[in-house]
Amino acid sequence: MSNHREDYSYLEQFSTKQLEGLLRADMDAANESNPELLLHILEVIEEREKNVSGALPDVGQAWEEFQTYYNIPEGDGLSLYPCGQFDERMEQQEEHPSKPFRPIRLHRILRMASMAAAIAVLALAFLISAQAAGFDILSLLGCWTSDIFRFAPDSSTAVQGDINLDYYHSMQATLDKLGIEEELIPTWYPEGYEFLGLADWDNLSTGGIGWNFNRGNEFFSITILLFQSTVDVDSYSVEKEQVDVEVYESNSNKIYIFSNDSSTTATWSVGTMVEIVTGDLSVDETKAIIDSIGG
Amino acid sequence: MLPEQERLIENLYVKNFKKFIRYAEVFSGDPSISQDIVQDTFHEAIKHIDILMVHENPDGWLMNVLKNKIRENRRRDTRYARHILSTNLEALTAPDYIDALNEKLSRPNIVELIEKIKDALKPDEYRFFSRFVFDKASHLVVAKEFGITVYASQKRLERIRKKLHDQFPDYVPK
Repeated sequence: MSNHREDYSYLEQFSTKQLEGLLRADMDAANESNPELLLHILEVIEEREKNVSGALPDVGQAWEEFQTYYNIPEGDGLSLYPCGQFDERMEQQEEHPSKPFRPIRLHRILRMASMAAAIAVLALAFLISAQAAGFDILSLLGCWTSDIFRFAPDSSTAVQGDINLDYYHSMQATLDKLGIEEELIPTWYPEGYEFLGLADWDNLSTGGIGWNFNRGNEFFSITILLFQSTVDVDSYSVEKEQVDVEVYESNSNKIYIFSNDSSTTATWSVGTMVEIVTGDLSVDETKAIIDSIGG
Repeated sequence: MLPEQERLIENLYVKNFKKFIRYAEVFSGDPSISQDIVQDTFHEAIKHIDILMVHENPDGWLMNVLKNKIRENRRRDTRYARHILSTNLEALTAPDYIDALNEKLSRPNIVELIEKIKDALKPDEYRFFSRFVFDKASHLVVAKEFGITVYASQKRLERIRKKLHDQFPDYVPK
C-alpha cells in the first residue's frame, strides 16, 4: 500500500462491493473528491484480486496496444473521450502546474460516512452476534471502556442553538416518503451549523440516506442506513481494534459513542435501521442531538 | 518526447493501469470500453506531459482525468439512450443494457425510428454507428474491425452523429 499522510486503513473494513459503492457515490457527487481516496480504494481492491486469474488485464500486452493503436502521430492533440470540464480545469492547472487538486469537503464527508457506516455495522454485528451467542452485551463491551453507562448530560453544559423547522420538515418529509414512522430526526443541533440538505447514500450496498450540516470548516452528518433484514455478519470480517466506546442510553436506545480528539461518532439501531451521527462534535453535543429526537 | 518523459509515462502506466481498468469497469461493465477510456487517459497524459513532469501528484492527476472521461462518457450514453430509446439506461451495466435495449427495440415507434436512421445512412455508416450505439463497442474494437485507427473511428462516429442530428434533431443528440 502506498504511504500517504492520511491513514486509509479503515478502507480494508469494507467488502469489495461496498468499496465499489463508494466509488459510485463519489462519481455521482456534485463536488470533486480527493483522488487519493479513490486510488487507495482501488489499491485495496487490486490487492484482493491479484491472485484471481483473469480478474485484471495483462499490463505488458496493454502497453503494446497503447503504443500501437493510441500513442500514434495521428492522435496528436486528440482525445477519444473528451471532457469539457476537464479542459477548463486543465487550463487552471497549466497556470499553476505545481498545485494539485485540493481535497474538499466531500472527501471528509465520504470518509466520515464510510467510517460511520463501518462503525455502525461493527456495532450492529456485535449486537447480533452477542444476542445469538447468548452473551451479555455489557460483558462484550467491557474490554473497550470502563464507563458503561452515562446518563443524559447536564443541559447547562450543552450549547444552545436555534431550531430550524425547515430542516426538520425537510428531513421528516424524506422519511415520510420512505414510509418510516419511527422518530429519528433530532430537534436540536449546535449553534452556527447550517443545514446543507440530503445526501443520497443509496449507492452503498446497504442503502441509506443522510443529511449534512456545516459550520465554517466543521461539519457533521446524520445518516440512516436501511437494511433489508438482519445483517449477515459473516460478510463483514472486521478486525477488532482497541477503541474506546461509550454506551449511552437515550429514548430507550443503546447508543454507541466513539470519539477522538476532533470528532465523535454515535450509532444505534432501530429495527432494521441504523442511525449514525458523526462529525466535528463534542460528546456532549452529540448526546444533546440524540436526546432531542422525538422532542 | 524526451527519454525522461517516456520513462515517467511508462512508470505511471505500469503502476496505475490495472487500478484504472478496475475503476472503469465499475461504471461501464464492458472490458473493451474500459480499456478504451483508460488508454485514452494515458494518451491525455502524453498531451500534458509538461504538466505531469512537475506535478506534485501525477497519480492523482491521472485519476481525475480518468474520472472525468468516464463521467462524460456516461452522460453521452445516457443522452443517446434517453433520446433514441426514450429510456434511462444510465445505471445499467452491459448485460442489463442489452436486455432493456432488446425490449425497447421491439416497440413499433423505435423500429420506425431505426428504419429512418438506416435510410439516412449508407450501409457501412449504419453498421459503424450501430456498433457503438447498440452494441456498445469500443473504438479499439471497431477500429480493428474496419481497419482504421481509433482516431479515425472517433472522427467517423462524430461525422455520423452530426449527420443524424441534422436530420433528426429531436431524436439524435449531438
